[in-house]
Amino acid sequence: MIRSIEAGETFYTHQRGIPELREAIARYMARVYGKPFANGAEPFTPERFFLTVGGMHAVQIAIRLLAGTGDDVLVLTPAWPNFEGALKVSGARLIEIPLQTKVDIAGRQAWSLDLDRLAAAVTPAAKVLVINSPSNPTGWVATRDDLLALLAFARRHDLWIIADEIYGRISFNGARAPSFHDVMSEEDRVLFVQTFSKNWAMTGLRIGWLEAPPAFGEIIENLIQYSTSGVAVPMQRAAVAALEEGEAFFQSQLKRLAESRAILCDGLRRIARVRFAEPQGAFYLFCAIEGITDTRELAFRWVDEAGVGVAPGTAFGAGGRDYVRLCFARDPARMTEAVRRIEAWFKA
Amino acid sequence: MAAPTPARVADDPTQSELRSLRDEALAAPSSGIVEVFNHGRDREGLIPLWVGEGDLRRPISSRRP
Repeated sequence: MIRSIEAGETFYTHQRGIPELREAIARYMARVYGKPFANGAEPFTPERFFLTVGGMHAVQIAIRLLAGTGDDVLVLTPAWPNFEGALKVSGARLIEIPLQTKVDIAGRQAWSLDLDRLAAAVTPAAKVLVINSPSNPTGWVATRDDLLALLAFARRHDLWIIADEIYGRISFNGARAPSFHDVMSEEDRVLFVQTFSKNWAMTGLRIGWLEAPPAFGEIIENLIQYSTSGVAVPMQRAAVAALEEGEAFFQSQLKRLAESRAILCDGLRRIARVRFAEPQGAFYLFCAIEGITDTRELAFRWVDEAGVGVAPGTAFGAGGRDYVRLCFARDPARMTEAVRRIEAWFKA
Repeated sequence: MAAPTPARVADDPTQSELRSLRDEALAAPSSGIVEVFNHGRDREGLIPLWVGEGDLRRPISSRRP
């Protein structure tokens, strides 16, 4: 990245992304997902990938392609608040589909998809279904059967799917989470949003990608032209390096995440008033606290009284109101200290 | 802390400048995460678990363009 700046790569660039990076993404996707469609031999090709200024820009482009005023968009909630924001700015109407929480025979909580709720919520104006798995903030991971059911639902109602699979490799059950790539065919209408932010700790560099049918190329290129005019080349060089040299870094981060997740889960289990489903993916724990109904106020109190900053569940839609989100992408020693402070707050 | 909705703007004469903005822009919600983040961002010793990013620094590659 620094050498790219020193070499003078500071001019306008390819709107879809530099060819080296699009090729590197295609190779990376082949390594991780095999091929784009479950029922064909077609490989990932660079023409499927469009570089964006972070995953958020990929979400914006996807929404601009698919929905606007008069359209309904179905979103599983609790959900990352930026979906709501981007949809409202577009003029589309957001319809929340709350995930269920269930308790298994061992007394463990788990989030799950409720297809009946989804079927009951669909409207004639519905055009898009947004699926974020692994989920921010719940840590829910759609099973292969969930994805098959969602795909069948989308086909039945003529919906596009926006698949946010940015945490797809941050899975605590197996090498990666199930993906729409595992179940979809070429005829299915799925756009994928992705980012370099999470796997390679590049949140501030603002680079991600949209994966779409190559036939959309010129249209997406135009939308990029009229929004950001492309991603700065030094950031794209950094992204090539992440894909080609960043696996060891990613694996070390994953190991650290598993450790910090265990510290947080073990610690919160010791607090009788805290209820949560163990996150199966991503790097968040979403918990409810008996006796607390105003999680916004709680988040402010924990800043002031416990010295711990958390995100209030009110930020994640109606289904998240009673929860707080804790990000466990932290050094295990810091995570241990955070748990100690939270436990002390409950005892005080 | 929500963003000013079109209805609130219309009711509030002090917000007349905002009336000329698009409804969709006014409908953009304020982030409930940023609100807490701004409250505590400069607290010494605070352990931040609020935003969706890790605390590891990405190693800078020596890769050439």
